[in-house]
Amino acid sequence: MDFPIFHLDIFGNRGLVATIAILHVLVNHSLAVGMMPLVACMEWYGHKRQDPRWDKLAYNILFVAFLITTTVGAMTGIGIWLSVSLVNPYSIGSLIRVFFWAWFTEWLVFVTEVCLILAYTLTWKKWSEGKAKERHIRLGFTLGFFSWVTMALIVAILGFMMDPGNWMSEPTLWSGITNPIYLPQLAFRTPLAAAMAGIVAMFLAQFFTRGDAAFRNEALRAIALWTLFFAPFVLIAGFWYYSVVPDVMKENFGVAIATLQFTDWQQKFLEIALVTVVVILVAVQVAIARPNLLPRVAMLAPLVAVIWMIGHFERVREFVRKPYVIGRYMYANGFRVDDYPLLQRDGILAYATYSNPLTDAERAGLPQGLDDDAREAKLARLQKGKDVFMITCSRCHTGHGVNSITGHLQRMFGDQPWTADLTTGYIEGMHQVRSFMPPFPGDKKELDLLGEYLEHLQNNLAPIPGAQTAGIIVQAAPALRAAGIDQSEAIAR
Amino acid sequence: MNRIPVPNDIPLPLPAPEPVLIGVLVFFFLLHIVFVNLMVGGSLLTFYYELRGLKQKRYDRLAYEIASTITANKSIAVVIGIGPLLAINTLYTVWFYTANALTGALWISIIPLVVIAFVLTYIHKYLWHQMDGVKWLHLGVSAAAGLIFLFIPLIFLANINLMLFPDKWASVHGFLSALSLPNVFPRYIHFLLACPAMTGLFLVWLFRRRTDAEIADIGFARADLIRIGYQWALWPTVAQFLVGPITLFTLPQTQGSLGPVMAVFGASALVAIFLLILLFQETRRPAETIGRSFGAICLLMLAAVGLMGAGRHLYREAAIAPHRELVRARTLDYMRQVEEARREAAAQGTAP
Amino acid sequence: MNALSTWLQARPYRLTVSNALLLALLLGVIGSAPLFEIIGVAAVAIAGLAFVGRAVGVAFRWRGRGQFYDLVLLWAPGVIAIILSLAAIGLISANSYGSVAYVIGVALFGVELGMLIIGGSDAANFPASLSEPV
Repeated sequence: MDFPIFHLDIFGNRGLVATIAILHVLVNHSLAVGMMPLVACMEWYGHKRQDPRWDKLAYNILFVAFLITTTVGAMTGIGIWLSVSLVNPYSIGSLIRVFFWAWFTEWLVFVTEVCLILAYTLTWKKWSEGKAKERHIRLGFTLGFFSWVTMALIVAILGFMMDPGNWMSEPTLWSGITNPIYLPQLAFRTPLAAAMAGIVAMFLAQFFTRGDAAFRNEALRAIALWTLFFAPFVLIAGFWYYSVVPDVMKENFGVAIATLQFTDWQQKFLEIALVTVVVILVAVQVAIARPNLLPRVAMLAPLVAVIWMIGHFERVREFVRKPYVIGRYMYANGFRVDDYPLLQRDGILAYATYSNPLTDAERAGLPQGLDDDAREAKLARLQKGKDVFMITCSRCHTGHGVNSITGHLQRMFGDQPWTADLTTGYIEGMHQVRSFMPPFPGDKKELDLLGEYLEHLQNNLAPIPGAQTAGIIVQAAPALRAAGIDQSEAIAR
Repeated sequence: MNRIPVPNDIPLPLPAPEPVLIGVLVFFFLLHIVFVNLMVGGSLLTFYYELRGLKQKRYDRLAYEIASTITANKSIAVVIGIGPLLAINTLYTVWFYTANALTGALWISIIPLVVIAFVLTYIHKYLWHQMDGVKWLHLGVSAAAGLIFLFIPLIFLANINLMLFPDKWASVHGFLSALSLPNVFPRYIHFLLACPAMTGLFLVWLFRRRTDAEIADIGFARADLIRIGYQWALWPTVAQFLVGPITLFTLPQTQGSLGPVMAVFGASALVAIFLLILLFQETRRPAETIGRSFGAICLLMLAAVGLMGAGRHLYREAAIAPHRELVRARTLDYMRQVEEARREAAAQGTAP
Repeated sequence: MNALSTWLQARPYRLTVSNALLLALLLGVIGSAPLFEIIGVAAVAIAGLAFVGRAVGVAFRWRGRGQFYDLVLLWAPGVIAIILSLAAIGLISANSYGSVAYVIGVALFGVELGMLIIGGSDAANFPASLSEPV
């Protein structure tokens, strides 16, 4: 990766993307994709029955959705772009070369969606009678449709990224739509969004109908039926997705799906989905039979279950990609498969533009009793080892935070000194044992330097800063380094 | 040692001809920045008039009118910004992402900061009447939102400025050091002045459309409201004739020639002079004739903004183009070596 | 004691549901999976037949005059209860005594059997029962 390396050593870089992305999914599934059709239905029903209570409830729920989607929802969507660009610029930079028009189209649909939700919310009170009301209701259904379309588009792009073959042969949106994971994933997310919206709406309805017990019961029942209709499809489609993924994984790994952790996770996904649907069914059942008995906090249970399930689902989806970030083209460390012969021959540092300056803690952590020359040499090796770590490992691993490299080493080797011999032997063959790990991209010398740096981390517990605080050191261009000339210096002069 | 980094670029072709991507970038960025102007300007003007509203109630109602427009303008500003973000990611991958990484902490803080600003703006608007008894708190909410809106453009400016100067990349340690690079602050002031100016024109449009009943509810004569809009458009634009040249002449030297850049900005200044004359005339017009030049003013503003967008792009090209060639050469060289090594490895049967 | 018996008699199903909950608890504590299966399925069958019988009666009385919406309101709670109570028995059989899944299974069985009984009672005077308080 030839960029200054942004790094969060405590929270972890993956955590940054995951938090923003999962928050975005929760908001857009429950309050946009699922909620807009529900609100439109409620408005339509209220108009049909000439019952202003339904209209009022629909507006109140819409307003809450509007407030959250136009703040947290919109900004986390952009946050995904910003965070992925920081964490893995090579992958997103490559993806956008291929998928620019797909994302551009999706953006145009987003613009439409934003205009529609602004119009729908801000004209509710004005377009309230007769023909204007009918127009307003149609607007609501149109908004619901466009919200779904944005999801359909992005799922195609996501699905594509998981399917390895297509990048090489057919990197288009169409192949994203026709790849085997697409329909199951869309079939899973659509009823999930609707069911989530139902749960949120039941929760909100209890607040907005406080004075009118009879209407509250009626509203809870109706929304419960909405949720009931979609809940079983969540399970069915979840099962469909579960059955399709292993074949894709086989393609990815090229070996039989034997990794215990993956099968565990798949099993767990199904269990969590089952539990989630059962919890939703119980809530729905009580809402229909005894709505007056439903405490407001009851809706928290299905909501928590859904959040747990989505978190797990998204995690497994990301896991399926490993060791690649773009199937069979680019590993999670940002290096392309094609780059490996060159880098494993000459080393990654020969071609790296940037170096990560050593911190005071790192400089202080040298062994005692070295003379000046030995000290300088050790520092130089430590610097290189650090660069190897930052370039090849830091996208997924931290020094001492979440998913820390020291945590893994501690688990594997305990308290014995983590000498380079001990660790590099493992790292060299790691990708064959743990198939979600990419192979080490550097040469043998760099493997040893990495080992020295990891040994150093055993005693230096300070977090490793990223380029955003520590800055960078610029290396001379490789060919010129090789030729002994530094042309960039000439330019600077 | 002032080494200029020459990193590897993404070795994939652009998804469309460069002029098309540049068109998308410049056009939609201008649209985005206009709505951002309306959002920030709206927030500032709302605060100002609510403050005056403490003495005269009708200014409070005017403030409420302006506050009501921020809801739509802010969402449009945000969503329109995505297109140029995609385009700049594609066209200037190396430069943009490098600048992002170097100011990373503040860059990603844009997200929570904007969310907070938006939430405060909603509280301010939707609890306006409920907070009648605690006006000081209400104003505090507006001020807080306004301060965030004033801060965020600095993050963007620091970033897009940093991306133009690879020779500075090695000397930056986060946001503050990027902020102190020339010429972020003059650009910032230039942007700040544009906010009330653009909002002023927007208010002219708004108050020309409102029904008589709606105007009467506010408590001003229609012509007075329109004149207020024109005054906000006029005086900051007058100030731009000081700040603009300062910004122009403090632009750091680039390797490419700045001749075309100066020409384009010169043309936009010329257009702006006509704009200024018309604005001045409008503020002097009586109720019967005020608003007559609105169409012409909008066209002139469009032309000025368009020219400045073009000039801005030309400056970017002048700053980056030579470095771009270096990066291109380096990338081609790297890819050649990658191919060579791959063939070598395949021949030896040691391909991965 | 008086207060309890008054409360139990206030609604027709309260006694039966209390019995069902006690049955679930008893079976759960005994811990014999085959026993739970036999008695549990029998209980679900009895309550289930009562529910289905009454629901069919209501649907017959409506004979085409009933809206689809009301039909779903009539059937849904009971059908869900049958499915989930049988699933709960499955959960109990598949897990060891005292484990988390076992306890959840027992609780779910009790709740769902109770809901099935309530569903049957509601079906008897549907849709008037919809607007009744507890």
